[in-house]
Amino acid sequence: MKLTSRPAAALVGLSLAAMALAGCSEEAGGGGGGDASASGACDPADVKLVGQVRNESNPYEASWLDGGDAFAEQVGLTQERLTYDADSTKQQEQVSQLLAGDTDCLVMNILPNGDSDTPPIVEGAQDAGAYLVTQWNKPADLNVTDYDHWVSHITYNGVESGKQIGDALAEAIGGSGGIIALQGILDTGAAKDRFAGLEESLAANPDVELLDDQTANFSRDEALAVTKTLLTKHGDDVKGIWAANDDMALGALAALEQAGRDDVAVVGIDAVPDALTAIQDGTMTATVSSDGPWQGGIGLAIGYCVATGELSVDDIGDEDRAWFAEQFLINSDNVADFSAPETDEADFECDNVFSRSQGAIS
Amino acid sequence: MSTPVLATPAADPAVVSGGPTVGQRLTSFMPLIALVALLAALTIADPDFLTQRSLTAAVRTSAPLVVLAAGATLVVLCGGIDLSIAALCSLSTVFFAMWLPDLGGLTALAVVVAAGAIGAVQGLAHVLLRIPSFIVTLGGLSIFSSVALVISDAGPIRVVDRDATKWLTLYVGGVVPMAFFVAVLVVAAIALVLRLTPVQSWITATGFSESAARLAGTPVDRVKVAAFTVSGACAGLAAVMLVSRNFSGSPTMADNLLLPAVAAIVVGGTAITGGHGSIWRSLVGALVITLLRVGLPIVGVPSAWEQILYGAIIVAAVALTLDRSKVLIIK
Repeated sequence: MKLTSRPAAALVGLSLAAMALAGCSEEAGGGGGGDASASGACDPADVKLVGQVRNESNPYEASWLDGGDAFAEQVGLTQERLTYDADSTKQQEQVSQLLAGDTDCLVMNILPNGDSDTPPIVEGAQDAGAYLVTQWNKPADLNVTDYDHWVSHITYNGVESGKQIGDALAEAIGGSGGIIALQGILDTGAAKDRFAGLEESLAANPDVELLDDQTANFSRDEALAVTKTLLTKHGDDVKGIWAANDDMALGALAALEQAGRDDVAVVGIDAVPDALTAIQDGTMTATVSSDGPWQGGIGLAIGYCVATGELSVDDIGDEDRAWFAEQFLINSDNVADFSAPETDEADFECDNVFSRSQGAIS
Repeated sequence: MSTPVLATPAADPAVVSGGPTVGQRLTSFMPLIALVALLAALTIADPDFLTQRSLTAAVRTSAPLVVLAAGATLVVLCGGIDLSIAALCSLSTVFFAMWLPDLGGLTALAVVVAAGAIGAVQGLAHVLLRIPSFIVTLGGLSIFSSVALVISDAGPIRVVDRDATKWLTLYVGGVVPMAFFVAVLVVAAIALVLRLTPVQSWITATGFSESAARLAGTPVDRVKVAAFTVSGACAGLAAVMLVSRNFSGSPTMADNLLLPAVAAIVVGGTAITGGHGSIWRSLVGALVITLLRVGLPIVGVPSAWEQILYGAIIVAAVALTLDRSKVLIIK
């Protein structure tokens, strides 16, 4: 104790001295960003590209980072791949460390862990003068247009995807018959929107009857149990199963297999590899893809175009600051195109980056 | 060099007056040496890492971990373990977000007091019911997580009014983040109390040999309850720091800080078996762990290698920092 306390005393002494000398201030000293101009004049070679997702073990998110690599290669740069293990605290720590580096030409394409993780990231990027594109999660009352370094926010219309697979299911069962619905975590926007989409589809297909809807919390195991129960309850009346994501659809497939039923159509959302295989095998009818590789590339592309001055934030219309991107219905006809998704260089040209917009987030 | 162990009063003076050998001196500085070595390695991997801005961000990040580890160090020094710190910290972030609209500027104080009281209850359960600290705090971990989930409706609560935490986001002298400054102050305050009162020797005696300490008249039970109380209060303070940074409270916000906090204590060279160690060592340990957590990915270590390096470096650091002459039994 005697020895170790000496450096400690020195530390405290130094801190106190620093405080006495200079008082408190709002910003950390030292060089770096925070400049007023929102449109950069970075030399393309100086741009630093960063993609951040939860896990590389998730095939969708790994493909996202691969798409980022593809864009980086297209412009002769490399992408820094960051993952935060779905840990909000770790994500914030990484972002704040990143923003403490050279941020003048920093472009970040980030998947925030949840809605409430977006505000600190946005404010950090704004203060540091980095160019930020976020995807999927943001609080509804946080407006991209209030910031000039938060270039764009991209998400997907859950109502539309819920309707797309609902329609595909109705078609697969010949336009009439009973279906059951497996809902996601009820407290999430995705689950609510997707189910609202199913209800739209049911309104358009009056002969399709919703026999039952229950939540299986986006989980494969729960979907297996719930589907078994519902199959027992409704028996041969069940002609189709609508699941709010592919994991639940795969759980439902397992339940059908155990029950010896092969006459039931199943649809899901997300386009996970197992679901694509199931569609190829003919056991599953349809899923919806948000195109992970494109997501990984497009966020970097938008930021890169602004950082290099090819696009100016002021010139990007409000409808392109927070927008729904196009999603793709996958069925047996086109599943081959999606089993090894690739990015298209033309999508990432600066005058083309908003081409997949389906309209502003209302 | 260590404060006399009460059980062997007659033999000790010789050790104290003889002074530490060069080897012992070196061992006591090992945590600092490990920190500098790690910093040097990160700088070699990415020369841009060693800038004042980057270091400022790193110590700002480390502040909650420093406070968590400092509190839990007291429990570890007493020969126990506090597994509930991270869950209690998460619960406290929820408290903070929920109480802020009513309490305003007093919220931070209220959260620290509440967390300290919860820590005290765990300490009382430990000494009165004679349940091992591992079990008491494991139960606490589970209870606090669930309570946090229930009262928050299982989701994050955004903190819109940021005036109450603004002071923590300031910078002392334009360089030192206020959160880190407060963390160092807390460590200094605890260390000062330990040094100026008999508590230091009570804790050491309890940690090395509880039965001998009791025979020597040490108020073992009171020391333990006090250690758990301080550990709880530190978890509350860490929660305030997290909220000031994330603008929200969440029932899982700090859950992943438990193992880093324990790692910080051990990497600092404090023996997990109790008795030997100090709170300053945990400060340095927390800095090492923070550099590993944020430094490795930033300098471009691929995520698969990151975990491998993290584990290997921690084991190597403990091998360096632990003073084996002070710790005879390894469990």
